[in-house]
Amino acid sequence: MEKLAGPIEGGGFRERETKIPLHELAGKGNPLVESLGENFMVRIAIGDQPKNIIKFPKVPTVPVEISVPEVESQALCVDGWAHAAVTLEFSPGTVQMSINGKFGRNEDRYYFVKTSFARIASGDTADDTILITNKDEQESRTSLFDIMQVRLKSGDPKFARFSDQYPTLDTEGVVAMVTRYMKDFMRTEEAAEQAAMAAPEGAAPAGGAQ
Amino acid sequence: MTRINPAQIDGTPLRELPLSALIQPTNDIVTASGLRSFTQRGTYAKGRMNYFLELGTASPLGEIRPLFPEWEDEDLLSDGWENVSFSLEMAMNKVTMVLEGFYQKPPVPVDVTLSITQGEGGYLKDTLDIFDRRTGRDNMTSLKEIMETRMKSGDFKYAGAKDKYGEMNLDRILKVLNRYLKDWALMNRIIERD
Repeated sequence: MEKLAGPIEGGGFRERETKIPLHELAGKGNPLVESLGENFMVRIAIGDQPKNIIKFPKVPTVPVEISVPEVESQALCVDGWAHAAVTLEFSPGTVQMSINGKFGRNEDRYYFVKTSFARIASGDTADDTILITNKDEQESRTSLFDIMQVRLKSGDPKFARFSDQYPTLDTEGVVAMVTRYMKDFMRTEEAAEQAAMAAPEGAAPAGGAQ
Repeated sequence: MTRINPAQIDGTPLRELPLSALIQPTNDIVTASGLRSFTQRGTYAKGRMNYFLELGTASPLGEIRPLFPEWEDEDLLSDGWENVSFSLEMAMNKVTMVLEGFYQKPPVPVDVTLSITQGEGGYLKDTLDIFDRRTGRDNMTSLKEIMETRMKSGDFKYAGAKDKYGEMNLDRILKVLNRYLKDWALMNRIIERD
């Protein structure tokens, strides 16, 4: 039996970078997409049964050299996610990142979150939407671009890290930013509802029509 | 990038190799991936196949070389199988083959799970679970027991004359399993009431 040679002379593995900007990841997926002749996807499940999966339409005939983002399921659940799937779909020269999940572990208050963010290897953005639906099916829309513009009084970004730049966003950064945004969104909605309930009967709600 | 053939190690199609032949390449592949273990899974339904790399909660630090048998639909879905998942769990010095799926020979519908773990010195685990959907009961046996079953003539009932437990290739394991399931479905057409 012929022994498969190690990928590095003397064995071991070639260590891979983490936190790769999505447009670079799109380029790194190209050899596999070309070899398969079809798209493939990386999925990270967050929740009670966290797992990382790469799905192909057939068995690849080249080594799979694709970075799986390091997303901490447990920390994200503590932050408020009940469950979510982070998906990276690779097609020629493009990576489409999506987050589909339920934010809020309380049955009285939760939101379904659906984000879609497509990056082309050239660095252009093909899609950027965040759709939040509450338990009464009321929708709220925004985008990563918009939430990156939100700043504190000090001028610091409210949801983005200092290192986050829109053209070079990576998966880990997007997940962290959406999580911070959702925490704030939930707090704000809760406060608004409590204020409305506390207001004396017959009084106009704060910010309501005069 | 180096080209590899996932169906072959040294020119022999993977399905024609015993599990013991996969130990050394598995060690190389696991080492190269930088993972402690991972699972390759193929799911087959009529006209549709998907291949998955299941990494647990880890992210690979190196490359992953697929090493997986090239099953055709008709290999796995013939003779009563409605859908099948075939997986190889790869860890250092250990390969576990799991074949599970829904098998139906009217009026007998069963969920089948065959799990065989190959270690350095032989099989570490060998279980076959046939779950009868009509009764909700599990029927446990093993490939070893199936292979040891003989007819009145003394010949093996399901194993071939050349089949040797622990050294059978993936193709042969599947053939013996299919023979047994066909017979099991026939013998269990009528449900005995307690």
